[in-house]
Amino acid sequence: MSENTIKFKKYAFSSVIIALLLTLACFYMAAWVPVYVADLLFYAAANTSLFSLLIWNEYRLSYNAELEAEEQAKIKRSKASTELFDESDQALMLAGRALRSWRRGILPAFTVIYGIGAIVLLVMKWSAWKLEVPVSQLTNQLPAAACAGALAVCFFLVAAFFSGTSRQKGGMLLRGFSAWAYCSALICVVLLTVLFFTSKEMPHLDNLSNRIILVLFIGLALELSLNYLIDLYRPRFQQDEKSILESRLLALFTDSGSIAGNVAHALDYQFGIKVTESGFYHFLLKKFIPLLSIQLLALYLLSCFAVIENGHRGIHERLGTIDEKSELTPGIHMKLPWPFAKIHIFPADKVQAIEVGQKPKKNQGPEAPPEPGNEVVNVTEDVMLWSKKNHNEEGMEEINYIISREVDDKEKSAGTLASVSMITVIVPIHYKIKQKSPNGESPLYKYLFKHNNAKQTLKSLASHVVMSYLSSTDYFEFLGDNRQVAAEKLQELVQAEADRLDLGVEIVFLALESTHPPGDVSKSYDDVIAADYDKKSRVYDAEVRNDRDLSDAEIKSANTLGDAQAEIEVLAYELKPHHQEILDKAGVDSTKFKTVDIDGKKMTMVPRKLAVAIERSLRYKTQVDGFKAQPHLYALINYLDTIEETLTNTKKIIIDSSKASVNFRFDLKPKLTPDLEGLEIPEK
Amino acid sequence: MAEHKKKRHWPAIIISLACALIFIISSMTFTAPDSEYVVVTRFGASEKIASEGLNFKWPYPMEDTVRLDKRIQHFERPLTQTALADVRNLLVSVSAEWKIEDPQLFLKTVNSVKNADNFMKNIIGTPTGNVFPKYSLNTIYTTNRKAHKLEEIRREILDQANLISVKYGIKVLNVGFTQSAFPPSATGSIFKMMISERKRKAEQLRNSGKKEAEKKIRQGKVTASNIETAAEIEAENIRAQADLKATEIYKSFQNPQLVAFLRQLDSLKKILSVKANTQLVIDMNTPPFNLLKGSFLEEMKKQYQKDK
Repeated sequence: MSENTIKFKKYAFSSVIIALLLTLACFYMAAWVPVYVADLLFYAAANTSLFSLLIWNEYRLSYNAELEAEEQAKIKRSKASTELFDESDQALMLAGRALRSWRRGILPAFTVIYGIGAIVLLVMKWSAWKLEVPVSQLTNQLPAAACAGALAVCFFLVAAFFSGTSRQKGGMLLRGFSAWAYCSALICVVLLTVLFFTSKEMPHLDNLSNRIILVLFIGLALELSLNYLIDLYRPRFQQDEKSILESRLLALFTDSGSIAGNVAHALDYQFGIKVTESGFYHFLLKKFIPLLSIQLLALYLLSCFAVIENGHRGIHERLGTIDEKSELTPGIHMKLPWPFAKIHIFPADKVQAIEVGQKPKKNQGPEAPPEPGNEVVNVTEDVMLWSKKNHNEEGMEEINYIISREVDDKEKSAGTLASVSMITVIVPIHYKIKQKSPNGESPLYKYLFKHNNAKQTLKSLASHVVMSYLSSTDYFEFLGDNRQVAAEKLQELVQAEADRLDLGVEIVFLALESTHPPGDVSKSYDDVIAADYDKKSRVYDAEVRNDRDLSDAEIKSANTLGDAQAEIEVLAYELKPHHQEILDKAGVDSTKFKTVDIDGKKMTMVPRKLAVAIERSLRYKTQVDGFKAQPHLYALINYLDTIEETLTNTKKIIIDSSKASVNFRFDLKPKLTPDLEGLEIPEK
Repeated sequence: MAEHKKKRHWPAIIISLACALIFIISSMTFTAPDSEYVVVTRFGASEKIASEGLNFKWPYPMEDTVRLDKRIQHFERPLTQTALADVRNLLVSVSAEWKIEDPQLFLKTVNSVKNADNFMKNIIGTPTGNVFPKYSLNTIYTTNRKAHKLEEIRREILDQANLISVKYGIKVLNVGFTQSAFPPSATGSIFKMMISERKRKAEQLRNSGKKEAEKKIRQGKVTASNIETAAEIEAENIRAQADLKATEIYKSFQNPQLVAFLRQLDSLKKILSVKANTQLVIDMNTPPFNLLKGSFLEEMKKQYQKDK
């Protein structure tokens, strides 16, 4: 058996122990230090441990296979060999078969599955990544940084040792382990830097490092899952074969020699092209570093220029000092390179907006049902009503301001000096940075460098102005028609407050929007409007009824007059001599009546009533003659004629009143059901 | 051989030296920006305030720097119940703008801008609690500009706040009231009052409508009645004129008893000719039903004998 196999098996075993100890330390570090890079360090250390386990297993299987092969050789020497015996012997070499199945089956399958799993895990971590820097939780960063430094040294020493060992014959497998140990050492250095600088001037260093390392790890996981496939398409030369656990990407940085050299060797190994022997390679080897340096220098010198776009303005900061009176206008500007100078660019001419009168909605339980008579009106979604809840911006609720109310005479006499109501008002305010006055302090400087949060300060000032204004304004006056005046006054006051605190802003626009009583009472305001219409409606109804009554009266009066007129209406009447005699006796001058000719007859136009009187007079004359002849008989005949004429079809009950002792009872109610008595006998 | 090795490693040596130099320079220099106070501490004790721009110091841990925001900070105290002079309560949200006036004192007492909120709560809260009880609600909410004291309250709170804040190295530049409210129960009552007031207004409108409508109806009725009466008067007048001539003719009638009798007959005809479910209870003495008695035969017999 080869001594190397035993030696490397022992090395691999010791690498497992060391890697596990370091992984445990990294686990504690990740739990202790709340920075993202610490999590990734644990991932790298865990990979180191995993790879050391895999490598150790391969050495163990190799050792078993060699041992088995030696024993087989001894048996071969001690016994006479035959073809049949040899075959059965080969079938019994289980360790060799185990090694082959490990190398050809188990290990490749594992790398593919593990690589894919790692990609999924890392992508999930990327997606779940919160951008806040947990600096607030970062305490004792200096001891943590010291621990990270110690871990870096440990990983580096381990990596260096196993990297050196792997150069010995048969030690190739250990390169995969040493590469990950180097990687862990590098991440320890990154962690140390993050811990040192996070709380100082570079709060986003952790995020940046995390992002870069995650991309690197995703690349390595992808490489691991494809390693077996890549190895299949590699030309076979007489040189040491690399293990599929060995990362070619990591090898570029961790193998001895320059990076360029490692790249060239990696290409040689993968494609069989002798890159290292080409002229271009030698040229690149000489000029790569200078070219790269020039590129990096050019990139760095680009930080000496700053372009300020239209609508923006800038403030020049040199080693922390700012000229308060200077303000950079749109165009290209030169400055000292980073980190000696900085130009703060701000869209100063862009109008910005704040809104007063709303606040973030609190998450309270279900709302209490409205009081009777004040129910919220059901409206469609796109109709904005005062009484409709949540008609304001998403997640915001309106503020109910207290507003003064002029006391009326009744209240004054009752001793009330002041009264209040509630009102809701949303005040949108648009502002921009003021233009710089000659020799004056830069308004942009005031806005950016004099206030920690100028926007919030402006909002707070505006809120105070609105609250103060409402506290001295009459409710009904404010709800009335002088809102434009109020808006102008408020704009003036907000501007004065902003100037007082040197905010450097100009109020461009201020309006009073959505000014109304609070939603809880707005239904009663709607009711007043409804009442006004009710009033008008009643008056209109009364007018309609009035018109009808008047019309009826006019019709009735017209009819009455018409009837009266009809009575004196003239009609064509043939005025005979005996008629004329009657008229003469009555003293009526018949010559005043008009005469007309109808069908050859001379007709006189006589009033109807007069004509009736003439005819009645004539009839009376004949009646008097009859009466004179037989007074009693004439009266009786006329009387009986009338009785016959009128009482024939009338129901009659005839009683004898002389029999006063008899009481008569009559049921004159109509019968509900017909009886025999009531039946009509059909005529034949 | 040794010379060749030296040549091969000189870039690494230069880079290492450059890194070491950068590290030493960065640990010994710092910039104090315009928007920050940088307090230099020597072994933890506050030593001096760095001037703006590039500054030098001994490396850590001999000297260290603490940065404090020089800009104006904003503080907002949420709605808090405050008593008023007229034994009423009001919820007031107070905001304040403040800045660090004495960085070294601030570092000792407050330590960081973040911690300052805990102190500002009291620096603003205490004067607010002291000043508001001096004023009644009528002086905070009134349409009388002379009696309106909110600005006075604001100034008083600001003055008192600065008396406290000076002990912390803080200067309060401004105090404002971003919101005010009544306690929830009182707010509910105000809403009720507003609803009642609106109800009163609505009722007034409805009642006035009712009155106006009734008035109009009444007026209409009177007018209609007047029109009808006027028409009747005129009609009667017309009839009277017509009757005047007819009466002259009727005057020639000589037998008023006969006229009355005939007129009665006419009326009887008219009344009984109306088709209605008329039932008549008639006395047997009424002609011709008296014939039902049979006594007329005796009378006729007597008359006949008398005539004979």
